[in-house]
Amino acid sequence: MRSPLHRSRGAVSLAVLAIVSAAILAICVVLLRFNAVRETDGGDADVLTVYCAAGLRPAMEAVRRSYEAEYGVRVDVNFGGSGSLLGTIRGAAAGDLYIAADMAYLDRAGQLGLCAEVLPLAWQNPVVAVADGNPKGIRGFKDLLRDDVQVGMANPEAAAVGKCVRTELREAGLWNRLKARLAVMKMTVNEVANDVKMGAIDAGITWDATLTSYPELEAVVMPELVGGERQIACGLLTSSEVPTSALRFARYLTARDRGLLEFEKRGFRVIDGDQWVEIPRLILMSGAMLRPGIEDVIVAFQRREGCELEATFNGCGVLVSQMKAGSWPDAYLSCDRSFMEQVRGGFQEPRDLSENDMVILVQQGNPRGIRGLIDLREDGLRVGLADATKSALGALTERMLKRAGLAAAVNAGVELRSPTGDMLVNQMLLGSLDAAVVYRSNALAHEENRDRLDVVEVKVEGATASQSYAVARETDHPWLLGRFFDRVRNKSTRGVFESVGFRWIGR
Amino acid sequence: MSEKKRVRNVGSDIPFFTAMIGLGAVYVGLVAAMLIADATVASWTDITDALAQREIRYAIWLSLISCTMTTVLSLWVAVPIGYLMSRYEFRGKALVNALLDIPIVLPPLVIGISLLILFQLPVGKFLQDGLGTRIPFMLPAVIIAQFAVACAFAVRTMVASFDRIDPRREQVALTLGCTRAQAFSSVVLPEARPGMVTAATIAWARSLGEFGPILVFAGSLRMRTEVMPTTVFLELSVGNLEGATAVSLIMVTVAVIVLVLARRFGSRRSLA
Repeated sequence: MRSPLHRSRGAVSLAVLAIVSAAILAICVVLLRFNAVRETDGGDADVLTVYCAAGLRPAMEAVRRSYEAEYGVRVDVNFGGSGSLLGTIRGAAAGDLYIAADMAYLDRAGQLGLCAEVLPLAWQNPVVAVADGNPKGIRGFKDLLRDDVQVGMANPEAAAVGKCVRTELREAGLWNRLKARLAVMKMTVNEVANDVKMGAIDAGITWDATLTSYPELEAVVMPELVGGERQIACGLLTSSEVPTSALRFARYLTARDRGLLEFEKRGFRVIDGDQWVEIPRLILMSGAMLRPGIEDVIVAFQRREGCELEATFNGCGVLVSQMKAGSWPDAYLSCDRSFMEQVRGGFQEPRDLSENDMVILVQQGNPRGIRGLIDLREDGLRVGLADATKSALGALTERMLKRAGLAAAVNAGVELRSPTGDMLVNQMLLGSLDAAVVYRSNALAHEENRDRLDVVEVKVEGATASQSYAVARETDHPWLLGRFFDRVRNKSTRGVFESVGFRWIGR
Repeated sequence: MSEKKRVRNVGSDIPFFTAMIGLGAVYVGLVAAMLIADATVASWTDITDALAQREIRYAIWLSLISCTMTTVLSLWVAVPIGYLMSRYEFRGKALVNALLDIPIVLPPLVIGISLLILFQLPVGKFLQDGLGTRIPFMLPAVIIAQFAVACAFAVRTMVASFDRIDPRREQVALTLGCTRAQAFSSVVLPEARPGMVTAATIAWARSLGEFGPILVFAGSLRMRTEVMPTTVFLELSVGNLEGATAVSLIMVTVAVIVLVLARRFGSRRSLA
C-alpha cells in the first residue's frame, strides 16, 4: 500500500534501511569467515588454549611458533596479568594451560580445583628498576624513601610482583614505610617499568626478568627483596579436554633444549628442564611388592602424559644387581630402604612412601596351628621363604630370623626359596606349602588370597619393610618422573596402597 | 548559519567569546597535545614497522569489521528502544531505563566477566549448541563484547533524538490514514536521521576503543580476536612503548577518517 504522505526527497524507507544494514552485516560476516577459514587451515588437529602472563609474551610467542611449525598443533595464547587471567579462567571454565608469573597463582588455581599438574619454567626476583645510569643514585631501600625519589610498584592485589614485594617487606617490617612513600601503584609489572622508562617515576619495583625487555632501564638489587624469588610456572587446567596434547606442549615449553632456550635467550633464569622427546621412554624398576599399588598409576600416567613408562617388577636383590651391573633405570621404587642405600649414588635424594609388615601366610583355618615364627621349626612343615640374595623380603626375613635366633632351625626345613613374595603366595594357593613368610601386601593383593589363605601376625622387631623411591641422577626426564611420583603420592593411590596392606608414610 | 547572521559586533561580546574559546581551547589543546606527545615517542619508522606486521594489519582489519557490525546491530536495537522509551509510558519504565544505563556505568572488565559467566550458564551453553560454535574467545565474542557496551550509548542517543521530534506530525500522519509503520518510516525516521548518524558514530567510536570486555571475554589471541586496543596492551606488556604508541596513532588516524566520512555522509543525507 502506498503511503498517503508525500515522501521527502532523500528519505529512505524503513525496509530499505533494514535491507542495506543487513547487507552490510552479511558482507562483514563473509569477510570474517573468509579470514577465519584461512586462519584455521590445518584441520582437525588439537587446538590448545593457553593463558599466559603478559610479560612472557616474546618468549612464549617464539615457542608457540616453533611448536606449531614442528607439530601442526594450533596454540592460541591469551595474554594478561597473572591475577586477572585466573579470574578469566574461573569465568571461562575452559582452556588447557595457565602460565603465571608466580607459583602462588597456580597454588591458588589448584586450591580452586582449576589446575592439576604444574611444570616450573624459570625463576625471577623483585628488583628496583631505574633509568639507565641510575641518575637518582638509588642504591638501597632507604633511597626509596627519599623525598626526591618517586617510587612506583604493582598493586599487590593484582600482580604477582606486588604481592611478593608486600610479603617480603612486611616480614622485614618495612612495608608501611614504603607504602606511605609510594607515588603510584599499577595493575601490571610492565606498567611500572613503562612509567620508569617514560620518566614518570624514578624507581619502580619489577621482576628482574621484566627488565630483559627494557634495555634503557637497569636493575638495582636490594637485600630486602632478595628473599622474594618466585617461580614462573605452567599449570595444566582441569578444564582441558585434551590433557595429553596440553601436557605435550607444556613439556615442550619447559624442555631445556626447546622452550626454555627461548626464555634463556631473553634473560630468564630458567630451570634445568627435561630433554625434549615427543614420546619419552622411561624405565622404572620397582620391587615386586609394590606392583598392586602402582600398576594402575603407571597405566593412567602413560595415557595422560603420552609417554612410555616401562616398569620392571622384581625382587629388589635382583634389581640392585642389575643396576650394579650398569643397567640403570630412570627411577627406582625399593621394597626396603636398605636396598635403596646400596644404589644411593645413582639416585637423587630418596623419599619415603610406605611401610609394609611381614606376616606368615597359612592355609585357611590354620590347620597346622602356627602362632608365630617359632612354629616354623616344626618337622614336616613345608615352609616357603623369599631368597635373601634376590629380594628385600628374603633379606629382611633372614635378618628377622637371625634376631629371633631361629635362622638355622627354620632354614633347615625350608621347602622353597623364591625371588619374590608373589610366587610364595601362588605356591600357597596351589597347596604346595603350609606356611610362607611374605609381606602383608602380598597376602592381600587379590581377593582369592584372602578367601583361601589366613594371615598370622609376626610380632617381632624388624618385621617391617620401608618403601622409598628416587629419580636417577642421570635421567633426561627428572621433572616428568617427578610428576609420576606426585601421582603415586596422591590420595587415590594412597587408598589403593592402604587397601592392600601398606601403611602410608609418603609426604 | 542563521546564528551567524544575527551576530552583532558589540564590545561586550569580546570577554564572552574570550572566555568560551579559552575554556574550549583547554580541552582541544589537551587532545592535540596528547597526539603530539604520542608522535614524539613513535617515529614514522615505528608506524611503518607496525603496519608491516601481519598481526597488526589483522587487528586493524578486525577492528574495522567488528566495529561496523557492532554499529549496525546497535542501531537495529537502539532505534526501537529509543522510540519506545521516548514515546510511551509503561510500568517498569524506570527499571528498564536503569538497566539501559548499566553498561555505561559498569567498569568494562565487569561487562567482560559477566559475559564470560553468562556463556557458561545453561542458557549460554544452549545458545552455543544452537549456533554450533563456541562463543568465548572466538570472533563473535569480540562483537558481543563491543555490542554490550556500544549499544547502550546508541540507545541513549536515540532516546534523546526521538525526544526532540514533535509527536504531532506522526499523529497527523496517522489521522491521514497511515499505519504506525508507515508513519514511523515516512515521518519519524527521516527526522531521526541526524540522531541515527550520531548514534552510529558514537557506537562505532565506542567499539573501536573497547578493550576491557574484549580482553576478558574474547581474549587476546593474535590473528584471531586481537583488535587494535588489544595490540596496544600487548605491546605495552613487553615494554614496547614505541610500538604501542605507533598503533595508537594508527588507531587515531583510522578513527578520524571514518568519523569524518560518516559525519559528512550523514549530514549531507539529512540535509537532502
